[in-house]
Amino acid sequence: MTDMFGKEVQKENMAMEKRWRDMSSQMLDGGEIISSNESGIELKAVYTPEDINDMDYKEIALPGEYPLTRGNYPLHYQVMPLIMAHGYGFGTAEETRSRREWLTKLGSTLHVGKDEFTTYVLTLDLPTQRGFDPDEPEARGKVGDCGLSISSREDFKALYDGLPINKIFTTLIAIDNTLPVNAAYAAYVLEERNLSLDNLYLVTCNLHHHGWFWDCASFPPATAMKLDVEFIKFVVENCPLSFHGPVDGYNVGEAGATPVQEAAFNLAHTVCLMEECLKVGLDPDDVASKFYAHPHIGMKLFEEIAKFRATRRWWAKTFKEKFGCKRPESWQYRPLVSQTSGIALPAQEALNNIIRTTIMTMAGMLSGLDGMWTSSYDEALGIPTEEAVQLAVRVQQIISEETDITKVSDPLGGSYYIEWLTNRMEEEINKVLKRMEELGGFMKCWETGWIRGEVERAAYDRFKRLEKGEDVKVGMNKYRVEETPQVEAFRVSPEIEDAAVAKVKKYRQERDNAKTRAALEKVREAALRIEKEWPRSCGCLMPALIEAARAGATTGEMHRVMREVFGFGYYSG
Amino acid sequence: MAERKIRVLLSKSDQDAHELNVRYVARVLKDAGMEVIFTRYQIIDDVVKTALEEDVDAIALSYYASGVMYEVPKVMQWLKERNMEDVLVVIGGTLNAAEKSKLLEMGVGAVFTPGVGTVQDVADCIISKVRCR
Repeated sequence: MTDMFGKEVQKENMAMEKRWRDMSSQMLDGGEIISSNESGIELKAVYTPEDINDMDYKEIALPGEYPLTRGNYPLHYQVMPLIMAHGYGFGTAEETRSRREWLTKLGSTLHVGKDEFTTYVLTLDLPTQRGFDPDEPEARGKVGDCGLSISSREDFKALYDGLPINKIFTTLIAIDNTLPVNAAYAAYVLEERNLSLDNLYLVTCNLHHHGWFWDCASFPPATAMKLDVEFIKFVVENCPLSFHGPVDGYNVGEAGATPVQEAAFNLAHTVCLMEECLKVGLDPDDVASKFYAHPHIGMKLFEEIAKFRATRRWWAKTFKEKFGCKRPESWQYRPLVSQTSGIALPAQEALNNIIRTTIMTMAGMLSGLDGMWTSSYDEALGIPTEEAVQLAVRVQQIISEETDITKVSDPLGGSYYIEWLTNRMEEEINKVLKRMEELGGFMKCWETGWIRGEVERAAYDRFKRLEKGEDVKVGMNKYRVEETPQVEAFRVSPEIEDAAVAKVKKYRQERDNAKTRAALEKVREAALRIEKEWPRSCGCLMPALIEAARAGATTGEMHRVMREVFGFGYYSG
Repeated sequence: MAERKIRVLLSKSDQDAHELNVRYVARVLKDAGMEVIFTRYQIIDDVVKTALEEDVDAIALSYYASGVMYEVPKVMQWLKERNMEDVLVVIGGTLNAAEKSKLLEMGVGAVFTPGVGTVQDVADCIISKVRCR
């Protein structure tokens, strides 16, 4: 292996470094700077060729060149603008559609070639996410409150009627209710629009979003994994335009994981999911070429950029070497919906969060991420107001169109610091992955609560640092003044819940209830086959759910059958 | 006779995953010498039932907006019906000024919102209000 820099350069550099060390030591009266980043990696005050001299240049390469450290594509923002993937959703379909129209008016659309696409990145309300129809007791007080309420394919009419299905990029953030909600969407497309499923441009959302690191009720881990694979099979075989996943780092980051932990847990999760997909006979390239990611982006700009470069390199190597994928798309880590951190945005002096989200969005764009969801400044107060989301859209537009960031791919590539930090992040990520292997793999780490323990510890440390003032939040724990502009939080009117309840009751009255009951029985049979005859039975549940949705079943009814067969509770240690 | 430890039922809807802060609150309350019973409830009815069974001094509920104005009035009413009005109720979450005043009018002991005070204030408030009953 040859050195990156010639002997003469190295010699001169060593002399300069000695002079630098002496001068800085004088500035510190003989002391030294001790600093580290969010993940605990120690940082020096400056980096030089010495720090990356023994690296193989081929590990850096060029954008589009394996191992893709510098980017997935030879050209990126120069020809493909940032995907603006702001999530939204509240009330019923009508309210959400009007928010969609506002976003389109602001210029938040997706350009694919010459076509203009609409993005429906829909956050669903708590009852829908957890599998309860609006009229169930568990839904009381929460319908449409911080997300859109969906209970049947009727709701998709109000969202999608009049829009071209194959030009809508849809993400249904339905968590545990992922399969029934997507089945209801599929039923709408088949029944109401008479279109085939290959028109669906889905960017799916996997269902065990939370259970593996948060103490929340969910399907048992092994079942959750099966249901994810079931859904991936459905997408891969029926919806060639769609992506599945996500490989979710955002939520574990929000729970307190450090950037290294977020990346490592995410990658371990993906490997586990991929192995399960192979067990049911899916082709590795078919699965890998359609994975997408939903990572977290925090305030430590350079750490985040290095994290993404390290992740891309790790991903390319793993999918090529471990899984033997042949297609370049299979080696690409594809963050279509990268999200700026919510926990970085306090309520105190909320307008400061516009600055914070700008920095995080810049980190994302300097990392060459495909798509971003920039949070709104009122994150700590409620879901975004129209005004707040307008600013979030403007952050992305201003960076994309008023700066020079999109002109050059991987602009920080070759920086001694960034290349060194990319390597260090990769090392630390690999340490966590090795530990997880020693403990028995991702599923074992989930079921024993090990991941949850690690994340809770990181979260606690973070709180302690904030309390002591070691971590600064300007305006909140430092430079605080009590006179701050009042920010109105968004609230959904309580009448919306009444409307949703009335709607679902009416829907049930007007359908052919015998037909629905029969179809739900078929769902039960399919669920039992998933429970008992896996992996042979993979592929039988989604079709049964779609048929049930076509026969009028609500998402809550479908979810209830699944809960009854699989169990639903607290399973992480 | 040693003063019995203050027992707090700290509870959050099991639909809401925003539990980062409430976990920290649990720890701070424990560090302050209180016994914390941490539960996730499916429906709000479960909370008062648990409070009675566990003989708690305080009920602390956590909300990311969703459900607060429906659930808290119910809790206050049930406590009244069961002669448990001396149980302190405190609420924390992403609540606006109007919601905060309505809750205080209902008899809620204290309302904590992001950025106002510290988590230690929550512990101190519970201790002082319970000991002063």
